[in-house]
Amino acid sequence: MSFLPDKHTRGLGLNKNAFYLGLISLALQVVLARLAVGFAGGNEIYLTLFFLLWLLFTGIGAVFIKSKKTSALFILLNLLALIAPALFYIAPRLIGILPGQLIPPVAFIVTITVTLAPICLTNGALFSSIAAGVDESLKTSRIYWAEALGALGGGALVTLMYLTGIRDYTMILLIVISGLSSHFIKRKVIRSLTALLIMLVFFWGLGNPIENALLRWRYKPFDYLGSVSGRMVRYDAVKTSDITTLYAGGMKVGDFPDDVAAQEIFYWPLLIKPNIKNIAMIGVESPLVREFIPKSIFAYFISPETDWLDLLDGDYFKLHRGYIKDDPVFYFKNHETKYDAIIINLGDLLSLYDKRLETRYFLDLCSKGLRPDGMLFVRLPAYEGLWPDELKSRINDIYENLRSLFGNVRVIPGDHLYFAAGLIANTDKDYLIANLEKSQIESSYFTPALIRSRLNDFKLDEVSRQLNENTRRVDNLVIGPGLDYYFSRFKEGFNFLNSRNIWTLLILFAIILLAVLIGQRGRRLASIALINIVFFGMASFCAELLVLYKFQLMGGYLYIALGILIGLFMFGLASGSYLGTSIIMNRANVPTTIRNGSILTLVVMAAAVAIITLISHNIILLLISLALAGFAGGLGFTLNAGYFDKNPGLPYGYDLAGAFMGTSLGTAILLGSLSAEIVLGVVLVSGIILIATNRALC
Amino acid sequence: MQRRDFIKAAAIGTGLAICPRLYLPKAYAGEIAGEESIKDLHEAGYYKKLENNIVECELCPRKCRVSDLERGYCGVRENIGGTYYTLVYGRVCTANIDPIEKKPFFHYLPGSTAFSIATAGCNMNCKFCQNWNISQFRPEDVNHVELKPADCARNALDSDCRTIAYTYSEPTIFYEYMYDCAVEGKKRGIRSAVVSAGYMQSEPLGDLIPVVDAIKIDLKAFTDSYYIDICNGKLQPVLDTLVAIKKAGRWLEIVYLMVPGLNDGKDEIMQLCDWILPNIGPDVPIHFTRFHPSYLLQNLPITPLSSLEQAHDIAKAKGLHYPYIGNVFGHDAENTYCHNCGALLIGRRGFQITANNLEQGRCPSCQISIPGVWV
Repeated sequence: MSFLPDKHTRGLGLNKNAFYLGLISLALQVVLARLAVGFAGGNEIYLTLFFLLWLLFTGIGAVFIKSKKTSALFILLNLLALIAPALFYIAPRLIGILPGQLIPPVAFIVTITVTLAPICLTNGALFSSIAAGVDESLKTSRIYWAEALGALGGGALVTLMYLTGIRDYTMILLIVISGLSSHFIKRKVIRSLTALLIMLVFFWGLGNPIENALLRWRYKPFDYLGSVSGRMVRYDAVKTSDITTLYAGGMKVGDFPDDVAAQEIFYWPLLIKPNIKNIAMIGVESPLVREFIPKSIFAYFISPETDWLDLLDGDYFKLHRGYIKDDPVFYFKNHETKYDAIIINLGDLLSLYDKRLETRYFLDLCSKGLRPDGMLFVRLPAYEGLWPDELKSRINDIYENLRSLFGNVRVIPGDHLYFAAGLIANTDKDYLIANLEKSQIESSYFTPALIRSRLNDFKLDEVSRQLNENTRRVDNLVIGPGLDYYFSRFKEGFNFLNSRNIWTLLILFAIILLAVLIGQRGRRLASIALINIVFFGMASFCAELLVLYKFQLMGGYLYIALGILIGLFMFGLASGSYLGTSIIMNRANVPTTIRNGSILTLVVMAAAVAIITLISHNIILLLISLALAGFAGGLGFTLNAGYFDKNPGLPYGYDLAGAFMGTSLGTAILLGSLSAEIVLGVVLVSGIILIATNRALC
Repeated sequence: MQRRDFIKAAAIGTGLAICPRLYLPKAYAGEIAGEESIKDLHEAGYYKKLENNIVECELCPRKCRVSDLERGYCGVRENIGGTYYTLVYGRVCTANIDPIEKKPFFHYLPGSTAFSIATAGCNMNCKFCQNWNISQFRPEDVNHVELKPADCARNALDSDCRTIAYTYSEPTIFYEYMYDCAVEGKKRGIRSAVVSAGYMQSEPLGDLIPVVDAIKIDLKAFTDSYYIDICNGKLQPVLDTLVAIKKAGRWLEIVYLMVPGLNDGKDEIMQLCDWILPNIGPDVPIHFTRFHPSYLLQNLPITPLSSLEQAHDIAKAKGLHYPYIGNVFGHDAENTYCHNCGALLIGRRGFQITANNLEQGRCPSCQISIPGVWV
């Protein structure tokens, strides 16, 4: 592969350097995003912060760094890729974060900034330098579409590799070796040897020892046992004396054994419905509860990932029979099996991944998976007193959802709350104590005293009063009030809570609009084009994020389909940018083309937004909207970028600034600050105003 | 309208719209009081007025210097015009009827129940806090009910509780309310038990001890570094509190939450026992309890049983009479055995008393007096 600019391209052509840049930067982005998720504990807000900073620094690099040394920049990018991942392992210890401690937002932002800034600045500078080296007109558009195509390839490649179980550091080695070898090696023989080396890295996992050493250090004082690569997140196991702890993407899945948790999960349903013959469990691990389940009951554990079971060794962990490897949403949508009982064990609402298990949509699917006299049990962390508003909203949402589906919903108070829903749900304490005495349960924890303590009238009154209080009801489309509860535990979190209003967004918009205005004085057409670019960048990225969130809620395990989803968006982006470049190339009147093209783009974007907002549960249409959003983004950019051949990095920087704003909106939705409908409405209305002013000027 | 005019108008409009918002004052005590006026707030005790309307809090070792309209570290005491107010007096955010064993008190009225209350706020910031939903928030962020001290005592009486327990969050920060509840309780024959981290100044502690019947202190660790890094506090004031309670002759129990990898080292437990013996004596029960991850440390493992048993064995070997293992239900070390002859005195299964063989506070086998509050 040559890094020399292709001076003889005819028509649109495909710039190899841009294609390669797209490929390597997306591959790197996926690997680093995985590591960031692991570092930050799986929270989607942190993931969006990652994207925010990625876009910010890449934009800055594209606009402000000018270099003709494309080859040197490529080498630098590869070297930085080798160093950056290690920072995710080293940083927590350097800043005094304990293994197992949630990362405060400020610490996350600082770490991500240090890690990403050099890579993204180089990445942005590479875009400008490749574009500047193109001889033909429409430099930016040509490079943009080739880069989008490369990114599509990069995303597909990385997804496929992760599906084979390859781990992060090995992936980094593959990216770097192929990148450097393609630059330095000209002779065929050595190229073949390098290809052999790449295969060795791939099959033998040569990056794993480095990664293990870093993880061993990271998890001290606990004994690091090992890791497996899941489809999106890495699973780690550590041992502390007689307890084995499993982590998924930095978040604890469970301790093995943990008898109290296990009995709490299984015995309440058994006492409420003693005649259970078969049971499905979601969010419950077999090695945790299996020993408490009588042999007469067939228990099934529905989980999207089970590879981690290999990490748990010994007789105790051989109890993990009964797994159904499927996403719970997919499973209950597509299977007819009926159960006597279904248990949904929810954790703290730390990510959207958890949120999908408590929507009315999913609870409805579960209700259809029950026999007529079956019961649904939902367990979630609560508090034995008056609940904070965010927690109350969450609990009340679940309660309302259950009440709309079942004739009878009862509650067992405690620091973990249990809902029992069915035609007949009896949680009277005398009834449960009688069932306990009749049962074979021999437990020092599960005693009549515990039942009396949890179901005393005082607590029941308090809980039922809170359940019946009206709380802030939010749309179920995306996230609800959940993740600000997560942030409320950090002192910084209070700032998030306090900024939960439209003013924050208005300030953001005002600052960016003013910056655009001041920066573009006296260059009217350039100003139009740049604002258009910002808008389309923002709208398409915002739409993409919304589709991803929504897909997770109704389609299930996002990470299984992440490659396809991003691929669809990139496909739309590449197609849109190809079309946009082709259009602008053949039009003499640039202002008119911008005006008409922008109207067309807005129509496409409006179609995408309409689908996202109005279609409730059709996944195919949702996927189409994703491709449309990408298409509109690519089209909008390339139509408007043709004006900037003398400064090709500029429109790219503005595009990323728009994407930055779109990601900010996505974050606001995640925090429960704004509903998705409001965001999309605001985006559309601003688009209409924008295009209207386009018409006035042209 | 030209695009630039439009943008200018939008920017100016936005700027005008946001300005009032930026300059609005922060929440202050009046908001907490709701419909009431500031006059109805309860003035805090234990503070010193300084110049320029500044006050110095003398309730806990932080000794916060608080300017006008600011609050102390705990977030529940506010300086309004040079007078220091408590914002949580009578504003209960948690009320439960719990077995006394849940506190845990093992040598205090076994098998009885406690009317357990708390308000928002805390004067520490433990990264493992089980009750962070109330302790790490300001009062205005947490729902509450109004409960006057007399009503609190009446509720305890109506619920057949022999004790009011001040627990969940840190009772030091609702000191005035706790004190008044204890006094009201005494009038009705209801006792008071305090569940505290012991991070309190000696003067308020000295005033509190006579009106309460039992105190349980959460000793977080036995190193200053742990207190600083994990709890945002200091060790020495807590040790001083333990000694003061013991000297005053009030019933005292200690809980030591063992967080894996952080405070469960063998040496630390040995040093702890070496300190307890000469300073507060061997009869003070100490509960080595299992940590269940929460709050900021929710990804840590639970405490391995072997660590708890090791701590229990060290304490026993060092000569402490009543070490227990907590939060491990059904473990033999939940029971109370006579330190003299080893006879089973009180059998426990979780929060349930399975046997109580004490005879008027004495061992039925060797007749030795067992320290505690039994009737």
